[in-house]
Amino acid sequence: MTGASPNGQHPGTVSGAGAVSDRTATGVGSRRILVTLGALLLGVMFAYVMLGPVIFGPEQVWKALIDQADEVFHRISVWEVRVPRVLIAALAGAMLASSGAFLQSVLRNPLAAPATVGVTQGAVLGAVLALAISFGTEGALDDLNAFVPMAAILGGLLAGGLVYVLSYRRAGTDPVRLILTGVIVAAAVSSVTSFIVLVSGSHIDSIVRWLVGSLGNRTWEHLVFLVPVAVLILPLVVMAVPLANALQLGDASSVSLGLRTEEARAITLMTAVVLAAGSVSVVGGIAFLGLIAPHLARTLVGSDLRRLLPCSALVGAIILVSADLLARVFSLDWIPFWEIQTESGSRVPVGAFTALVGAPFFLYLMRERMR
Amino acid sequence: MTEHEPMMSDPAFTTDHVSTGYGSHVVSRRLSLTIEHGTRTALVGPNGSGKSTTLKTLARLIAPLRGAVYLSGQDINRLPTRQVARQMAILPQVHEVPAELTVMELVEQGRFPHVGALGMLRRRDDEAIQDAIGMTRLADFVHRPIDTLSGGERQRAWMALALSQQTDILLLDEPTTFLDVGHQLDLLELISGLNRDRGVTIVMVLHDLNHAARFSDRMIAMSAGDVVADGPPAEVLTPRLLRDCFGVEASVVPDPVTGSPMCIPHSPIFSEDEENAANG
Repeated sequence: MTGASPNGQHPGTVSGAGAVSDRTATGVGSRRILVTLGALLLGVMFAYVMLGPVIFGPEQVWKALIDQADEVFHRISVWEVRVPRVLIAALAGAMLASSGAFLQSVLRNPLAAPATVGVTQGAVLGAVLALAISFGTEGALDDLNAFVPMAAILGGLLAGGLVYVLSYRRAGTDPVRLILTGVIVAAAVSSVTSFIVLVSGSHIDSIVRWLVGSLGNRTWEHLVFLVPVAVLILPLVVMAVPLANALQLGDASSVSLGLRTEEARAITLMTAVVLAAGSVSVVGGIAFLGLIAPHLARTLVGSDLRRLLPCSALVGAIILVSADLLARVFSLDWIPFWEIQTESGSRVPVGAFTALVGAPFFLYLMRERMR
Repeated sequence: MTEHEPMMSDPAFTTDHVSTGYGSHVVSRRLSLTIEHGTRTALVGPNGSGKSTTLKTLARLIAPLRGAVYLSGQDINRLPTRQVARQMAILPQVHEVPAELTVMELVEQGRFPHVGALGMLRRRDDEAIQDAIGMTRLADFVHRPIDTLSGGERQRAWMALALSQQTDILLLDEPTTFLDVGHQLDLLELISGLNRDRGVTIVMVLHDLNHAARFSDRMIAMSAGDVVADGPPAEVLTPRLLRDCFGVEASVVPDPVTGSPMCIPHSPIFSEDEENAANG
């Protein structure tokens, strides 16, 4: 006898509780949200390919995509510049947001993000180190060479690993220790980065774009680096979803459910670290995205990672693609007295945009949710 | 009503000279206990007596420093933990409440020990979940986020999670602590019903001695890590135990309705040491 009575409100319920939405009521509801977000992402991506210094119509984009462009520069602009860049933006945004969703669940802290546990800073340090070293060598001045992403992902993994090892006591780690250690490691790593920035004065422009995160000059070469990382980590992502779901109930409940808690935490954290390090290794230290995207996703589909993770990934992709689209639009020459063109031809880095918009937006979100 | 009773000949729990504690801090030494299947046991004692630590050791939440805990005859810390989770569920004292997780999403997780991590990727809604929700009267709340529920409803949701594990043994660590008296009785009735109707073995830590006496077959009183009294409530709950173990002068009278022993504490007795400690 289950006696399910679908007539909604219990008579004895505290007033006001009835206002709580039923958004996670059915799988259909959240599935519709995911499909809508997917369509939105495709829309923004298409708009991204259309817009730029030269605006293409849908037909021109299509012709360029199927290699029948009217003019050669259409094909180059679409196929060599905008398409790889938008794909990188979508994938890197999705990875960073997924990392944040995992971290917030496993660390049981709504403020957790790749940057609060030092992974972003570690990856940025790796990239900056690689840049600083390659300045001496000939022809290695741009951030196109694969050496930089390699060093970045290594830096991110090392920082994440260091946080885990330093948090380990006797039987394992715990969320509070992980976060405290993460904050300290992040600060320490950042100070090393600052030092390198100070001593390598002449190429500071290239380094700063890594610090704030940029999609400038990103092309197939970078995508070829990012895709294998994403593909290789995918099985772990799938595995980590149910583990993180149980871990967010607390360690005691996880044990009750038959999890090897520390192992589950290590798997989930490692997944989050690889996702974030991979993302940062190609686009740099994009601010706030790993924090805000999972928050937004949570308001849409709730906290169950089976829905939260795909939703966070989509929201993260949409945000980064849109932010870079805006960054490009605002960098255009038609805006008067707006000349933030740097020597290497790249314009306002997208990271500057997410940082500028992200902080107030995050404050707004927190205020809304605290009510 | 005996059809659900487990057919295991070994006791639900045996501890063999178990020492428990945290790191170098030993809470309890050489504890030897046997808890039979189908019984209701209440662990009582003052704060810091080791009752919660003992329960956590039975629950494998902490490993014994020495000795071993046997679950139905097998060393609990050597069994695969998921196999243990199919036999025993735990209602911990403190829970993390992820914002926006619904009751259904919480209760679903109870199927983890049965279907494994990959099985949990798809939505689960089987008989065990429906049964757990029915037992805890949460049918109207399944799609509500847990953090919007009242304290009583919330504790019932966590009970439903434990119930959906469908285990023969249920361990509860101060399940009634944050509830008002009505919800306390409600929860204890639910727990006793599980024992009576389904033969579920209950081991619980309770602070309220009168509830412990009324809702258990056996009370184990602990003090400073040792078992100081162990037996039926009528034998354990005595003025002497209350004086020696809890430091209160109290009368014990039979409950006029249920007949179980009921204590009425009058005044605390502090030894000089404790008074010094309290002042220092």
